[in-house]
Amino acid sequence: MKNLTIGKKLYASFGIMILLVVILSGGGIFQIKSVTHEFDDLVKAYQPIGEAAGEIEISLLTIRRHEKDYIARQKEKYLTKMDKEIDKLHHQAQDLTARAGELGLAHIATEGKKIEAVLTAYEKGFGNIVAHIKAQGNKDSGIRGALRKEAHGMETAIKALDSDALMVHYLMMRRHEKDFILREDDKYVAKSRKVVDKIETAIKSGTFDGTNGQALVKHAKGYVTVFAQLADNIAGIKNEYPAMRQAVHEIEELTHNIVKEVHAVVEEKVEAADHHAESVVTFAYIFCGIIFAIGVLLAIYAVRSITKLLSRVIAGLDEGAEQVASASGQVSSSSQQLAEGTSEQAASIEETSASLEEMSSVTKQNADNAGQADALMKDAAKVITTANDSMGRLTTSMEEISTASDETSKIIKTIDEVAFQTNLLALNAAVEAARAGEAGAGFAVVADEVRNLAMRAADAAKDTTVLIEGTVKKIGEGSGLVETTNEAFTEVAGSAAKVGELVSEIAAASNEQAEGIQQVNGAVVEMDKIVQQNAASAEESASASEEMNAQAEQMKGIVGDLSALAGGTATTVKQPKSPAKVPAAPVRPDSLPGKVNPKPADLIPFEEDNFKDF
Amino acid sequence: MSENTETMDQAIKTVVEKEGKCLTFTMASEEYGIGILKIKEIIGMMPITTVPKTPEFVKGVINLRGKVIPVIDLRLRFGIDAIDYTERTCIIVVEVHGSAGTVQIGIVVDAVSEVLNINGEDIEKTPTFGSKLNTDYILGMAKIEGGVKLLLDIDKVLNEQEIAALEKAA
Repeated sequence: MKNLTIGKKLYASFGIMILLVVILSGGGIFQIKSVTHEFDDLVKAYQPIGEAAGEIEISLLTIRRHEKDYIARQKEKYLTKMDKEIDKLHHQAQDLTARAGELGLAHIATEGKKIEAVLTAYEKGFGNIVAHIKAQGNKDSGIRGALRKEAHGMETAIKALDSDALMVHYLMMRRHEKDFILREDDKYVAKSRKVVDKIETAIKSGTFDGTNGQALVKHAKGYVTVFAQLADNIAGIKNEYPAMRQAVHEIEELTHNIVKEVHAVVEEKVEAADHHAESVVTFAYIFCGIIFAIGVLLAIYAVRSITKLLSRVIAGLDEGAEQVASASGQVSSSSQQLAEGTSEQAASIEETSASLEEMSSVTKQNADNAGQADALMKDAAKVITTANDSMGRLTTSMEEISTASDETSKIIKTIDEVAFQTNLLALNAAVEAARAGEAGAGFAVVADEVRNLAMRAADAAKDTTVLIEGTVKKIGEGSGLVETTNEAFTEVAGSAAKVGELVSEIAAASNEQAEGIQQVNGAVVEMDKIVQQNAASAEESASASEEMNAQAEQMKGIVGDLSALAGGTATTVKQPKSPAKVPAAPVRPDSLPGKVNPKPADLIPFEEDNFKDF
Repeated sequence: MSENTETMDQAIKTVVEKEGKCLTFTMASEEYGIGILKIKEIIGMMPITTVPKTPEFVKGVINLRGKVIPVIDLRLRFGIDAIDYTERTCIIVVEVHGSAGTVQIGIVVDAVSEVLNINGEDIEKTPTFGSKLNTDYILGMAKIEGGVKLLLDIDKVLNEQEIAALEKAA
């Protein structure tokens, strides 16, 4: 995180914040949706169960009403209504069971099933009652009809018998019947039987008409039987009542339970949803808290980064301002020095100019002298050339003499050989003469003389040879001398040429020197100008540095303000002091004149050795 | 004729054995003399035809007017270093006595001087230089103003065998 820029850091912080908020919002939204969903579930799923249970209650009441109606009025329409209602209830119960099953409320489902079962039982009970009631019939049919028929039969018989006592019994019997029908108390059955017994007794013991009496007894027995049937029927009906009532009560209870359970479940769910919502809220609080904390931290971090940066910048600026101030002070002082130096420089330049003038004139003289020397050297070279030519010719003539001498030598050699041969001849002659002995004595003389002549010739040849050798030697010496002279002349020519070259070089160098001095002169003039400029610039720079100083002070003031704004802790990263920022040492005035005073001797490379020959 | 020559030779020998005319020549800066009667001819230097399988001092043969004459170098014979032949180098044709009579042999010498008349009193006996040196070939020493000339007995310079060989070569 250290190497990111401030901008990036801020972006990052904000980014994190936004991200967290988004997460929170997203989470919150999600949770709220889920809570809503739960509530939806409750409303859509659970409530209907309660409602269904309510409806079941209503249906049940309707069934009871219809039951009562039917029992009271025994009209078919109530049966149809009943059936319809029971069907409806069945469906409701099934629906409820199904819904409960879907929602996983097993207990309620079971209870729903129980409701159904109970309802079926009730149905069966009611069916029995209906059967019984149907069996009972009305005054014209069924048991009642039979009863009435028997009763009427009895009545007819009794009327036929015309016995008041029997009539009283009959009426009493009928009264008990009615009582029984009204109150449905079994004691009336007993009473009725007792009465019938009395009637029977009366008939048996009385003097009553046999046929009617029999008929009466028959009818009475029949009546008793039917009455007993009726009593059974009614008892049967009554028997069903508890079961049915029980069933109804059971169903009621079950529905109540279901309702309660549904309520309980709904409440549970509501509580759960509430808890969920609460937990969501708590979580939101926590998350908010965290976000808050993170936000605070990030804010602190960002602010700190910015502040740090600012402090660093301020510190830098501060230092920069200080350095600028010090630098400007130094510049000021160095400008002063520069101004002083410049004036000294101007003086030195004057001196330099003067000495340059002198040097210039001396150099000119030098060049002139060199030119003269050059001319002289050229003349000398010419003379030497002439001398060389003469030498050449001398050498040629000497060579010719040499050649002539050689030829002379050859001739002398020939003469010498002739002499030699003559000598030999003479010797041979002497030998022959000696051999000849006496006869050759004169010949010996001749041989001797010949020998003498030969000797003389040989001597002469020798002398000539000696002379010629002498000549040749002399010529050789002369040639040697000529050679030496030639060499000397050549050396001289060489030296002259070298001297000539050197003198030329000297002349050229002098010219260059003159040029150089001109240039230096020009440069000095320029330098003078520049020095003037420098002086002016020094003044300007001094004033500028003063201004810079003032500006630096101002900047320091501003930086101080900024520092205060940024929070005063300027104890931040200090930038390393760069001592190189101090401006270069001021121009030393003594260096410049020193450069312009090179010795003339250094400029012209004299080779003093070559001037020895002159 | 050969008898006459022989006799004459003998006579010459006895006469000129120690005195009479002799031809002086130079060799290795020494002057030697040979009796004039021993000398047949003196000729200048001429081309020598080398003969193989001959001693070193035998230079070869020359053709002298149709005659083939063996030539020896006296320097080499005397054991002195040979030098190049100059224009003064001569060949002295001498007659030596061999087994079969006189043989003409050429001797290469450095230079020929003159014919001198030598008196008997000027001839000295050869001094002995020790037992090892054979000085037979020196007849004597002739005193002439300025120097001593060695008189050679040319017959003894070349011994018999050599002469025979030379004869064969010729």
